[in-house]
Amino acid sequence: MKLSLNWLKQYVDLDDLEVKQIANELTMKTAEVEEIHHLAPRMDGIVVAKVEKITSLGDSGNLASVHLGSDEERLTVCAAPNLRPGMFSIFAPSGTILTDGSKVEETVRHGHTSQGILLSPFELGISQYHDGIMDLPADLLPGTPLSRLLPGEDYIIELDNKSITHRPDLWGHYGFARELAAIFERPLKNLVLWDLNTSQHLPLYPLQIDNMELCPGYACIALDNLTPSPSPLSVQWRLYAAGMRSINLLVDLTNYVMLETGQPMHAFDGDYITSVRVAPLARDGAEFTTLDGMKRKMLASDLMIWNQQEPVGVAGVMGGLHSEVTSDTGRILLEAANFQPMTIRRTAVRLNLRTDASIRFEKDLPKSFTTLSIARFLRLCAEAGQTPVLRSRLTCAGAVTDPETVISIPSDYISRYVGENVSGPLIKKILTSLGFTCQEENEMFRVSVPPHRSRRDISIKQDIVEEVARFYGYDNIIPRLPDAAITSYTFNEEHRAEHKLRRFLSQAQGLCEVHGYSWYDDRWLTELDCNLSGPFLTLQNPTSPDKSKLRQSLIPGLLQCIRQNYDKRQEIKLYELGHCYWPENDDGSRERTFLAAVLFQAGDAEITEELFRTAKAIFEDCLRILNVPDFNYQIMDTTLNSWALAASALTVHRAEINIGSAGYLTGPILKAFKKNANIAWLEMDLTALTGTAFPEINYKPQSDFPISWLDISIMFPKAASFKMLETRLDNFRHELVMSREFISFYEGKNLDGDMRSYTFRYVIGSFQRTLTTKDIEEFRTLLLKYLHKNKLELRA
Amino acid sequence: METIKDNLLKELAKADTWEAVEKIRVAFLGRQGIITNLNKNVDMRAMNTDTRKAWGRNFNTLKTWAEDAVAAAKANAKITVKANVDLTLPPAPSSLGSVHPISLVQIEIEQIFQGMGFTVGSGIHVESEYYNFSALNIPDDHPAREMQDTFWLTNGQVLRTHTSNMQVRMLQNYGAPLKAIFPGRCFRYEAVDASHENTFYQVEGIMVDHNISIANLIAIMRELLSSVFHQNITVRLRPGYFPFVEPGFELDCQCLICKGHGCKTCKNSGWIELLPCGMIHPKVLAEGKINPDEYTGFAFGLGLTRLAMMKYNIPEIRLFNSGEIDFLKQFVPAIA
Repeated sequence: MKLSLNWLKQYVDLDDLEVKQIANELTMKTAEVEEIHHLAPRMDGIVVAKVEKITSLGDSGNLASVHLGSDEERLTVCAAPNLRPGMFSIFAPSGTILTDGSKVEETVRHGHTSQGILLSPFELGISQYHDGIMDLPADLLPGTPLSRLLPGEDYIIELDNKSITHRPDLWGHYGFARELAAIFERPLKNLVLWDLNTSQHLPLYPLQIDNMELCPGYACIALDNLTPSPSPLSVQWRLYAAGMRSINLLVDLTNYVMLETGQPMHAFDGDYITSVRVAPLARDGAEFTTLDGMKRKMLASDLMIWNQQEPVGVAGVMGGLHSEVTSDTGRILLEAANFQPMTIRRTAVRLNLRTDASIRFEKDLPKSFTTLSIARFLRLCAEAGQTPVLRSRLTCAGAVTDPETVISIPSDYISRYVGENVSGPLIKKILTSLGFTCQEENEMFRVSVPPHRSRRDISIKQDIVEEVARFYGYDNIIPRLPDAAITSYTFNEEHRAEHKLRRFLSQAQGLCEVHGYSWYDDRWLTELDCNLSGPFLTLQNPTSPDKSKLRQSLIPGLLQCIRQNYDKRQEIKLYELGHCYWPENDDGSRERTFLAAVLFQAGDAEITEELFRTAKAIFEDCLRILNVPDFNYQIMDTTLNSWALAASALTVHRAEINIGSAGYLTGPILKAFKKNANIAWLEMDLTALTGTAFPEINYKPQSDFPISWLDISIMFPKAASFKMLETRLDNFRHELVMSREFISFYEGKNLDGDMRSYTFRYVIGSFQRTLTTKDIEEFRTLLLKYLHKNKLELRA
Repeated sequence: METIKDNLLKELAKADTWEAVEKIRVAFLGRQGIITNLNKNVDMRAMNTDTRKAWGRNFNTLKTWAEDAVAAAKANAKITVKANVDLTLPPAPSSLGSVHPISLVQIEIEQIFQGMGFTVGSGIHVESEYYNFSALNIPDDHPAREMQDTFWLTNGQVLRTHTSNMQVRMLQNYGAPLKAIFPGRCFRYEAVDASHENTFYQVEGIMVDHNISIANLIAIMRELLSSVFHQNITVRLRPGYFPFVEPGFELDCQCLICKGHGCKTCKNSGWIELLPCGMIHPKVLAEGKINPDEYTGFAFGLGLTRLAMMKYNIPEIRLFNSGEIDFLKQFVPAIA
């Protein structure tokens, strides 16, 4: 939304204020000012010119002689499509410096000397529009310096549209003038209106609304005796300043009124249209040509304006081409309507046609703006030198006034809500300056809301608090910490658990925390030879069709990170803490927080086993940190997916509940990675793991006597698994054994290829006495005898 | 005894290494040392009480004197250092990994609020239209509900567009009074570029009690930001519109770079727009089964992703979910 400072000054005296101050006050009290532009076209030497004779130069435009008053004439080569003999425009003779700093040079084109140029709004420096030359009314004197016709400068205050989305009254200059009058405590001048009561004796215009929900109100009036003309320069200046363009007087005035009041208007060609009906299109697929010349595919639900059986406008969005007001229209039907915001928005979004009108209708405009705008249009029409003749009464259907809203507020409510003592007289003063009326009785304020503030904007007492507080000044509110009683604090154990894991993994284990997207990437899954069956939660509008499934594991994302980063590295350790998602019933979902880690190391395939042991250690330590002591492993006996094949992964259980799994990559999935990649992974369901925040430890005393130990290395077939060896050793029991620790294993040189040598340490001791050499010797003998009996061979 | 003293001094004068002094100590004060032996070789029983006492005194004086002399010599003696340890070698590989920058700011924010007694809540990502929009007074025709802003699931649910989805859930679960924050991941259907992501993080906060006021909101926000940026922060409120608060505000903080004088970062305004906040709309309180005539409250939403960008000077939002280790490794897991 662009505001012209000159325009605002028409309604409120701001002459003594700096534009920066005005913008700052608007930002602090009303809506965010995004930018201020200075509009100051260079006008030295530029004059009004009348185009006399035109000679065509074929494809390269026309040679025009322009009259500059007295006997002065100049020749100019001009390619503007709107050039026509007799028109008034503005002329910059050669030698003139234009707003952008360029100099108009005398040039020879097609054998003709061009002694200057006729200017477009862009060249004049007041607009981006560059598709034609300025077109002025014929009541000007050729040769008049432009500087006598235009204000030398203006400031354009550009507002953030989001900050006024709830304020339909702020979609016009007059609404902002009202705010500024309240901010600077100055009087607000009235909008000068045409007295519509003069039309009472005329017939009604044939008007019908079929659907009052979609079109709650509609006002129109038929006008005659209009003289086609371009708009006065002052009107054009303001339209261009506000970012619009000038078409012709009648169209310009509808836009001008919209920029003043916020109410979009439309003028139909009065010769074309004979009655008005507002109704949905009621059939799909019909084509409609809007006045920009585009053919639009319409839907049955689109609200249209009809002339008899023919649609002549897309309600609230854009008029139709056939009923358009052109440069020779002398009769119009002028309308100002009120539409349901949602229906306008839906159509505009679908047609990709967010017009100045539709943007305003989406805000739920006050109904009283309809007749107000018609009265304002007529007044401006007269000011522009027109003598319109009314052909109909002001004709209204539906509601064109707003119901009165009264809000009651306890007298001390505002002060309590703000946290600052705001006095009754100040409250009244602020509300009155904004157009509210306010009466205090029995410790209550009775505030009635003016019609220009819509139902959506002001409906409850907190809305009134806002009005008072923003004018009281948010800066004047002294920050105060709330009074609070001491209460016990409940920690969120879920968050605490996550942070504990972060500390462990990032600080102690050297892993790098990663964030991945919440959806699978199907193309990557295909590369992983992974065909997941679901069911999944699925996005209706994914960023791309192969990213529609919400993830149920963090592993694929982490694997993708590995591949993306492994060219520069020998070793990568990553983890992610994130949500995974499942559908539940038809319209529900279930979410769980997972922890997953992936370890990568480049090297021979043999190192995978050691890498997996690391993953398993991380898994177990995580469980210890979470104070989840009891769990057991099972070798996965069915293939879950390409990274968790049967026998390549363990599942971890706690009291029959699966709490996670860990494994290594093998088989087809490895094709997605380079040859020397070794990858192990682990994933656990934190939602299933509810441990205490702090450990419950029961200290076990140590023996006061010295302990001793004995290391033995046992040969065992590799294929038979460590677990089996361990089970056999478990059956050896002796009172002196305090613990048995696995130290390491060895394979390779000097060993049978299928065998491994496992080294264990038996820690022996007693709580009652110091062991003697004899005790130790006896233990050793018994152990060796047991091993021999169980065919467990010692390493030589 | 005097001879012993002289001898000890002579010996010590010759010794210039710690080992040499240690040898002397053993020779004089060791178990078989000259001084130690003095005492052993004397027949105490042959002495009368006074002589014995005098002998004892002298012996102890000598011993103490000798110990001091040796200690002084040791303090001055050179200690030979084995030259085969190169102290200039780099340290062994660090066992520190890294923590995601979002986690870093999230943990910091959580601790600041825990210090003020705020509960920390968790949040779900897949949400019903009701909790994400309707419960928050966002009307049916609000543009945010349209496909170009929101990820919709085929089952009619949405990926939450803000952490505000938890407001009504928290109010329903815990009732009033309540002070809580709830950080987490949010989603917007948006084209990804240097400053837009479809997946980002926010932290939402609410406080509901008797007589919670705008003045309270400003004070808490000032505490928060001063803690986050480790300096006193000047904040200002200006009007902002969000359907679930009334009134709604944009909270700006004075530009940390130019201290409010105007610079490139703050686009010469002296202020940085930081977070939307406001007084919880009575309809939202009512949806949370809280009586708006009895309780008032404030709510705010802080973009954690944006905060991380500000705090760590990260110019490109896409880095957060990029999985680029070179980026992630910079975030030392220094978590308190």
